[in-house]
Amino acid sequence: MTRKSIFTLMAVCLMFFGLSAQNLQSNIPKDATFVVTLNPSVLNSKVKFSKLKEFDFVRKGIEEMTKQAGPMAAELKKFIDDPAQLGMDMMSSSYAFGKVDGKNVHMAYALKIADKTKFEELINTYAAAMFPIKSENNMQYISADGVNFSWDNNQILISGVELEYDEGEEYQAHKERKEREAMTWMKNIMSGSNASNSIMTHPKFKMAEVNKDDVNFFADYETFSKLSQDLQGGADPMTEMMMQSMSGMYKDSYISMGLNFDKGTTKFTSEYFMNDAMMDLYRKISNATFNKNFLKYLPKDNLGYFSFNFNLDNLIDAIKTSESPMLAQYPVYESMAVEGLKSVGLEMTADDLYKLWNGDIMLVVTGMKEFEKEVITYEFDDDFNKQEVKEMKKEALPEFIMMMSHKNKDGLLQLIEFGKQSSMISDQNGIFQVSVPDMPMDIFMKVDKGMMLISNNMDIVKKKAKKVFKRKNLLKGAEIAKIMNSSSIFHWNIPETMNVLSEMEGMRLKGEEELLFNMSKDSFKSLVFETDKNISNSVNAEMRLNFNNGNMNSLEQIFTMINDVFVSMGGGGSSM
Amino acid sequence: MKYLTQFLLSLAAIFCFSSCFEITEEVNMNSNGSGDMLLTINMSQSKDNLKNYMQMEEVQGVKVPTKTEIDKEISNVKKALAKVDGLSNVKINTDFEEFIFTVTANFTNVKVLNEAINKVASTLNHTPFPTIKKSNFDYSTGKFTRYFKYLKDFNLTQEEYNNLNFTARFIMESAKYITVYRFDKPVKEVSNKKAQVSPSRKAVKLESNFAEILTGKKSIQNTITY
Repeated sequence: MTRKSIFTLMAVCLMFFGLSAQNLQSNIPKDATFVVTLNPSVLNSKVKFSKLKEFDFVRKGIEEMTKQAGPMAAELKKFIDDPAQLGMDMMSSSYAFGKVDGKNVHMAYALKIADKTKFEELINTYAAAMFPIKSENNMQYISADGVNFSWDNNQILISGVELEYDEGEEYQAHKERKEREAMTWMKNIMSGSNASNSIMTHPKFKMAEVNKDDVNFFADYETFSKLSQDLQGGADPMTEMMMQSMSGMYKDSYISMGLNFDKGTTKFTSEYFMNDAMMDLYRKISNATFNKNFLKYLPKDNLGYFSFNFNLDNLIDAIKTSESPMLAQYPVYESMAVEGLKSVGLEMTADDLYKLWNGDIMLVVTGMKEFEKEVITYEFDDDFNKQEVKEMKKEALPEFIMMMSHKNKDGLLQLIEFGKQSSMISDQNGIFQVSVPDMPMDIFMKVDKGMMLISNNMDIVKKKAKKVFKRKNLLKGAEIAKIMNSSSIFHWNIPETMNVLSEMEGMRLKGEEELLFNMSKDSFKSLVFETDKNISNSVNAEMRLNFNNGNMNSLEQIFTMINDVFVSMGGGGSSM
Repeated sequence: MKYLTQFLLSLAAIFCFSSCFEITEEVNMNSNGSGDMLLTINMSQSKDNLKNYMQMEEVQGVKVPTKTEIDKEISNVKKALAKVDGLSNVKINTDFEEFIFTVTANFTNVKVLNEAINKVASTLNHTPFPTIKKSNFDYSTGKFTRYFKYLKDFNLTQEEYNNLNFTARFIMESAKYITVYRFDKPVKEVSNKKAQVSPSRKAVKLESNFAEILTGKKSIQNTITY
């Protein structure tokens, strides 16, 4: 074979492979409300399914399922070992999709067929007796109550519809209408009539790259949001009104969410493809500069932090120039705020108000701090007579630092001055102490040029940053870059938090609790949520559960943890 | 009843994390069998948490009673106690700052005390389960007995105890139950070897925590001869 012919053959195979995935996608209508894409081959390339099947709890689960399957036990075992033995290709991408229009729902699940003969053998053995198999063109199908099970040389499709009753419609008429609609829906998909107008021609779907995730969910955001609300019992009238007035914001918007089990991390990503107007707005409000002074108060041994950073000026401009009816009243609210402050003796223009806060905030939990509180206990004298005693008891609470940027120091000081009238705020030489009754700790605030600092540790607020946190103890490196490039980020340091918790008085763990606790401490590194500041075609967000072991696939690590718990509970076998 | 115990303990588990509460039961006995009692429930150590919880409608799916509802329950208890023959001078004090609650009363004999306790239990029982009514005290000339007959209904095996979550275990281990009985004659004998007798021999004190009581490691049952 020549090199040229080898390359040709490879190209044909690749094209075929690519096309085989695309074939199913080409049957999904362009106006599908949602598409769930399962890419087992992507996941299998990262962690072999055969390896996952060897875990004790998985083997036990399979054993139990097989026992419960009764006469179908042998087929179930074949399916678990290799679905191709039953004619199903479960390693190729499969798709669950649907169209939702009010209470009318069209749903389907399509997967590739591996061997039509083997598949038909399975159907003939178990289903044909109860449901007659019908043929049409190159397609075979079984129908029952508006649900159809169909197949041809290429694919297997399970599809069905639910329709709202028409006014005055009787049950039988509705049933027949549903069956007709289900048949039409099935035939359109199976015949490939959607191909020229399939989801593959949807520009946002193309951008979403659904085939790269282990599992992907793509949806029309507007319809999906409404559907989610309806499933939760409907929105309250206020939310409903708000959603209606904001409906323009969600028009022509799509969301793509991906789940990926990678080495050392499980990632849940979302790409929000908004309409042009909203994308433009997001670009403007994300175009914010991070205040690097915040980093002077971010030690590397923190329990967690949260930061968000938006361009408030651009947001206010957008609100003021918005044509949304909900925001038309904004100038009125602005005047009301100014007049309200004036009435209590605070002279500030609207511009002064906007400069009180720059649109960014950072909250860091640095560790635990002991606070004292007075409690009443009883002591007994020699004759066991009870005497009330006031005692100072120590209580550990999280120590935090909160930072915000501002452009109006005088304005902030004015507000604090006003707050002093309540007697909850006192001035300790430029450090403001906030003492709220029933709060277990006091809060301290300082207003510097450009930044306001709040903490429940006076030393942090009082001293210069470098006296509180030495440079070598500050967070550095890639994590800093992530913070500065995110519109918002939440980071939880799991082992550090677990270490602190384990030293607390009440944490006397035993048995499975102790096992789970130690397992979590040893396995998990951090939980991170972040929204990217850099926006091109979509607004991107990501949630990552990071593991200490960066070399093992995260799904394998999750399975290992589950298996260890299973074995410790007497599930039998030994940990892998 | 074991399931009820577990449910109640789970309920208690959400109440507070940082230390807990103590209950002190004091009875002053006269030779003629009359006396007075003082029950103190001190939750001062958890006051901050309790104040926060009382501002919420529910915590972990459990409805939190409002101050008004608690006051109403206390008023019901007071009314119930007023109907007990032989019980007098009933006073109930509530302190929602420190979360300390006290009940004091005089009684003509310990049977009255038993009736009072059962009446309170009945008044406070809003569960579908029947109220457990027991005799808690007994008295005959020169002999005072504190019974604890609830173990059959509420006890936990060590395994069941170990299976509780750590918050529940912590609360039970730090929640104290203290009994103090005072007499007008010197005490001759005390059946519960873990009890302390005062140097004057006119008072007996027994301190336990809830974990010890519910797992049967310690009993508050005591017969005092004087």
